[in-house]
Amino acid sequence: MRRLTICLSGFLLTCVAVVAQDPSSATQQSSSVSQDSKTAASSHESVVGDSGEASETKGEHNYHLRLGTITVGAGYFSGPSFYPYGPYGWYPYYYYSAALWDPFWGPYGRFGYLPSLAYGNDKGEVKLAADPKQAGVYIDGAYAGTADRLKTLWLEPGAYDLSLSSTGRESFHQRIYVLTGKSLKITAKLARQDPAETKEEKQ
Amino acid sequence: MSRKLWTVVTVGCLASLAFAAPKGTVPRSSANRYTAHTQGDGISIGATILTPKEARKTFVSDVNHCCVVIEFAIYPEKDKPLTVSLDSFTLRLTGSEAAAKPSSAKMVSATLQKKAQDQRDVSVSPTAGVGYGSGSAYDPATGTQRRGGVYTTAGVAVAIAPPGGEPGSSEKDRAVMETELSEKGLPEGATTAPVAGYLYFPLSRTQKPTYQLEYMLNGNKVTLAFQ
Repeated sequence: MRRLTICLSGFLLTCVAVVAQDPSSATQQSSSVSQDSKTAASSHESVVGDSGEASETKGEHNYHLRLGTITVGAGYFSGPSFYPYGPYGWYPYYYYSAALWDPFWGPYGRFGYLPSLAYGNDKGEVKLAADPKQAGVYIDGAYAGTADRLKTLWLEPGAYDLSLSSTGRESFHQRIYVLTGKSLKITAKLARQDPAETKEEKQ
Repeated sequence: MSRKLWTVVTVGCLASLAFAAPKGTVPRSSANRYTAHTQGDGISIGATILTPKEARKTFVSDVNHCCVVIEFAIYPEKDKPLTVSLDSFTLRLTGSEAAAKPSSAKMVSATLQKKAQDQRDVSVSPTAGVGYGSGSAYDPATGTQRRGGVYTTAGVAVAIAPPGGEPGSSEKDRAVMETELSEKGLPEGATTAPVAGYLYFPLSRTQKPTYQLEYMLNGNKVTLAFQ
């Protein structure tokens, strides 16, 4: 007769899933239009240097070193088979956001409906930094939340009109282009409105 | 209530119209604000060649992979319409026979998609684990009954993505790149107001390149030299 497996306690301080960035992403540049592209940097740097020296691009591979799972746990095992923890799920990058972290669930827009802004394999990343942090963020006219809560958005590939607005500040508008697996960095500083102008608007 | 609705609809329509057509870039205050500029018959033109770094900052699409990008602006004479056409441009590499006409956004995006598809993503990921278990169980890896105690695991995973998994390689991405390049590209057609935008020349960069941009202006060839 086989004993039933009884797990006494949650055995994992699970998956310290650090995804080491592509080494070349360190060469990311903050752009004049605040657009940034990890992969662009990674794939171009060796080919087209900033000095303008370049040659025809060949189909080069991008190499990444990723820190996989580090698991530490304790438990009671007894049964037909032993489950070796560890080397499985080596690609935690895809797991953590989808399974454990989804802060953007259900952001219904004021004028429309926004799809999920959570991580997706086939999406692009938009990193948003705004001043003030409480500025309202609109994507194609639909309210998505405040900037402090939307530090990272994952959007389907496409062209979007990003707007930020806050009381007493001038609005910020930017056309953004999202590509799969790429990262854009948007820094939006909303300038203070002229008090006289604000008064007129109120009237 | 209905008034509010109408306002929202009107604003939405205006916004979509404003973002619909290719717009190019905002022309600088005058042609001499560009690296290379010239004037003739009351028409001024200016152009700046984008360095790879500038191109990377300006575009999400990897234009450096295929093209030399030039920002071009033309300031027509007042009330005299001027027709802008991509066919009027040629970029020459000084000291060589290499020359190119500007490519359309569609062509550039297709080229970039093809280049992205040729790339592969290789990931190396070490893993480690340590744990404590009590009791015993059958270990299929060794075929033995495993007793409790401290156990450790280690492994290295190497993943090679299949071709076509790179950013910019999907059809959706190609469409986005085309949109971006088209919207930022130099608008074609008749104009009486200054227009500016980017031109994409399918030339590969060489060490310390010098280029010449030729523009056919009212049947006359105008040359702008970039150092």
